[in-house]
Amino acid sequence: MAEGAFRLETPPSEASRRAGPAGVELSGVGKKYGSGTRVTEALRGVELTMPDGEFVSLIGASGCGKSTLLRIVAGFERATSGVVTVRGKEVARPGPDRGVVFQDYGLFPWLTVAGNVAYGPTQRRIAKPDVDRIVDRFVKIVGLDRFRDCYPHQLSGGMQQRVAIARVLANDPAVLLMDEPFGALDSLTRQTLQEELIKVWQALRPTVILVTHSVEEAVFLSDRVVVMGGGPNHGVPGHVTKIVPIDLAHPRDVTAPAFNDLKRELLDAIHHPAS
Amino acid sequence: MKKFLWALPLPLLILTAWSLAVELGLLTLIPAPLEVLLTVIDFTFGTLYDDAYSGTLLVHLAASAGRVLGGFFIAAALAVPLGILLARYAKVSLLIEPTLGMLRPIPVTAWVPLVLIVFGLGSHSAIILIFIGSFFPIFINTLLGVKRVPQRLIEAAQMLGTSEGEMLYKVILPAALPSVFAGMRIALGLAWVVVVVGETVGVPNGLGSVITEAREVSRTEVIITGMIFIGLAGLLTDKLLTDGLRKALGNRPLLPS
Repeated sequence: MAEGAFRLETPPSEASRRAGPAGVELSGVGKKYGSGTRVTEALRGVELTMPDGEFVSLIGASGCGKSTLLRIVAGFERATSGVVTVRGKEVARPGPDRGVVFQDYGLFPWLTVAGNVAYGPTQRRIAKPDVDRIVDRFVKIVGLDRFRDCYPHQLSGGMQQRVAIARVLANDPAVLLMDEPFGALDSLTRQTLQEELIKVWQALRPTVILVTHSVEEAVFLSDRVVVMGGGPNHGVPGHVTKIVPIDLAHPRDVTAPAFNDLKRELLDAIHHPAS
Repeated sequence: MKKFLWALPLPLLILTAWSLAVELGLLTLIPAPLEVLLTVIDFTFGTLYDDAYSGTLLVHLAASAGRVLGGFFIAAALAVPLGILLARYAKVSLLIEPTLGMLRPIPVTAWVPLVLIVFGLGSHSAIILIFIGSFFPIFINTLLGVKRVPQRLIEAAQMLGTSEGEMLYKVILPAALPSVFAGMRIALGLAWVVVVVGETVGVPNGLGSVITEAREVSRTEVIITGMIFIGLAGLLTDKLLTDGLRKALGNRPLLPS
């Protein structure tokens, strides 16, 4: 991918730099499923405040509710208690201000790469010439200019995920929500995409919430790592057990002692939440 | 062209075996291929025998094709919207699906006597039978196609700013289209089966009536000629349909991912 792709003529997320309420605010967020005596409590009392442009990872054992939490911020599910606000506005339904990147991509199979990226801007009634410019720019940013007329099934998993990332970035979202985005990819592709994600994030500065199973991925990418524990299988609702700030400069060296110390601290927090 | 050559040996083999069998007296009730070929020519151009069938191909073909396409398009026009409606609205589904589920297993042939009693002899009865036969494949495939649109695609469209009102046109229909088209192809093939059944009684024209009448006067070569043209007509309409659909779709993939 060309380095030059990231030299952006105009700061992209101008809106996200404007002064105002904090980027993402979760207060007392809880989620119950079912009714009557068959109620399962998946999440309870989640508090988190993220300034605009912060990169936060959610990590924890299966069933701790991290994906549910992400889906609540996305608006796919409603919290049964508490409030989620994005830029001061309460989240009630999905919207283009919160772009979601799914593990299984979720690309529209009947649209080309360019068509998928153009979908969001077209929905927002942006004029055709401007849509074309947006598509050109983001297809280039994810390094797929040569594949813009391909259909998703003609691309590898890693390339499809690049399209999915370009597709949400084209909407200039305030928040980028990623649900184990690289979980289905081989480790080399995964590393490349992690590095490119950091570059894109540094250039465009969206607020990012990333759900991951990988401690290394969380330490490599995030400003802060939110460790979650509990879950219906443990008899307690999912909740935040620890928040670890990652004060390392990018690009991060995964073999550095400081990097490994943070990994150890996080693994410890995941496996021994009580201590 | 190469592909075309590959298709030739099997029919040639069948024709040779057939010819030999007639020659050696193994097949006594079936005319030789050459005799059928002459009938095909006479049926098409009317230059050889000057009998009731000479040069009547276009009349019969047009009558059958008209019934097939008429019944098929009426079926498509009703089955596609109904399939979408039932897949999208649980209440409508509860209201209608059990009734349709009971009607579906009734073979088209079982409808023939009732349709003839109610609608009488004539072209419209054949069209109604084709409608009944074509309806269910299109309906079922539309229903399943819409129901099986991955929830993920709907979520993706939502987070990209698609309203509930736009969802049908923007996501659900494009995603279900390959399945709807598969249903249409099956239905069109079935329509050619049903037209022969529908033309066995009460209509003076159509390829189905040709082979039925030819049986009554023991013109076996005409029966086989009719069969050949039904096969060709089915092949042609299927090709027109798939080419038309392909054109309508551009080069988007026909299979859901």
